[in-house]
Amino acid sequence: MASCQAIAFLLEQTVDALALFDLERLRNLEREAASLADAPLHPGNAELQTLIAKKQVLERVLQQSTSNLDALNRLYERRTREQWERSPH
Amino acid sequence: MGTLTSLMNLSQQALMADQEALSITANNVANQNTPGYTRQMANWQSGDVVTINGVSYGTGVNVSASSQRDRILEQRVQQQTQIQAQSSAFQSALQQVQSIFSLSASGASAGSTALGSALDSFFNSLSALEGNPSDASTRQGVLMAAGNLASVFNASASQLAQVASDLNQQAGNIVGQVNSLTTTIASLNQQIASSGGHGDAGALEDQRQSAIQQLSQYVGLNQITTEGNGIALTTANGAVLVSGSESFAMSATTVAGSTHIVAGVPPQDVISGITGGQLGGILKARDQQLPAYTASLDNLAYAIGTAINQQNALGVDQSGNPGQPIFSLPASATGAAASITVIATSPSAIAAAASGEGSAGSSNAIALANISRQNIIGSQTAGGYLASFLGQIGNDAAGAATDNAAQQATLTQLTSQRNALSGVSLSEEASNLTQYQRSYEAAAKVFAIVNSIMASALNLGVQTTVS
Repeated sequence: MASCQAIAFLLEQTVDALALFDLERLRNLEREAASLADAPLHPGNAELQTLIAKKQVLERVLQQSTSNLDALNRLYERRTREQWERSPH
Repeated sequence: MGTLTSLMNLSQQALMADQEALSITANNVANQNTPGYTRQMANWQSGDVVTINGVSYGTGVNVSASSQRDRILEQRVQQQTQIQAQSSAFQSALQQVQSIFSLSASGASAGSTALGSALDSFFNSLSALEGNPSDASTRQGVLMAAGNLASVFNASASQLAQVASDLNQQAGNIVGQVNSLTTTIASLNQQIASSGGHGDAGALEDQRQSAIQQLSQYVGLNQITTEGNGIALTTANGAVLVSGSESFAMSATTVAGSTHIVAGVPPQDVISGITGGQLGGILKARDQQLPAYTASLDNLAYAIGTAINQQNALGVDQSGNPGQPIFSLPASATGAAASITVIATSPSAIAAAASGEGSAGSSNAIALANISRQNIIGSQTAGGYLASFLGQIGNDAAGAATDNAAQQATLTQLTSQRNALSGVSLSEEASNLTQYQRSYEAAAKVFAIVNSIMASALNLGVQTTVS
């Protein structure tokens, strides 16, 4: 049975990994989440509130990550273009 | 072909350029832990080509340093810093409000709070009076519970006022920090303009970015790039803080116990439009949340006091006289929580009996106890209203905590992006060092060969050897 603490910890770790755009860690967390997803969960009211709050944080970060990723892509494209322009032909 | 001397010059330039590149790399390594330092890159540019007798000759290489920064990304970091600082200050203020009502982060029932407990005790004392209206100690118990309820209202209102006072104090302190930083930024604007004002100003720009970053912690900003690589800063509602080499100080004034902030040209009160930074969070809590909480508390105190006084007036006290007010209240709800007191001094003043029932009756005591089940505030009972009020505070604080956690994570994202671009990577610098070292060695080798050739040329046809 999945414990609420395990899921809460998973959500926290996901926010941390997303904050650093740590792809490898996110993949590991995805596998961990998949293994927890099928297990039954019976949270109490306080635990449920905690889980909902952490899920809301993750949702907010995901939304805001979109624009941050756009900025990262733009930077990456610019650096790639500059490297290509500088490289000898 | 070029002369031997020009070959010497070429290799000398190459040596100097490689040395400059090595200096840039060494400077990056030296500043790897310097806050706000932006990594510099060596930019290589070939010298002008000279044409002699129809043949073109290169004139060597030049190296210049440029900081590896992305201004748009830096602006986004600053904007996010402002948003995060606001949410952090706002969350901090709401946590203080939560603690006033003894609400934990995971929530608590209204009955377990001091106010909820005092309210329950008061209505329980009235219920006890129903069955024993003539008992002096039961009557005394009602007055004591009423006094305790009034005290808790007073203490809660006082603590809310103290939170507002602390926020005023913080706002005043922030104004001083803002003025110090805007002066620094204006000075750096001037130095950057004096240094040429074109392209990147290196360390001066780093210092300016660092100062703007610190300023972003305190207040929300609009940033405008001006000529000469200058930066103009305004508050979110347009009051100018920095324009070129001039800074315009904010000032804090107290109006009716509340800190107001004057800024801009001409100076005007800007508190209604300030958002972002700690100041934005403080003002949001002080001007939006705290007044709403205070008003709710006042409404509850006023509604309970009024309902009890009105019902007591309908009955008769132990002396057979019409009931007098139990609570002292202001003319309107405003300030009721802070000023509510019990004015009935004698237990006999409680009008337990209904009019015409005789002083030993209990009908009015029953009616007084029933007030706990009546909708005395809009469509809510006192207990229901209190639960909604405390629930609202809990929800607001939880929402602020969620928002702050998300904003902090987003700031981390942006900061790590900026550091990946502008921070010093030791492995990359090590690679550059090796490359420039090899390049230096090659240029030195060229120099040695040219030197050898020149010696041979000088020795042509002479006895003495130049080595």
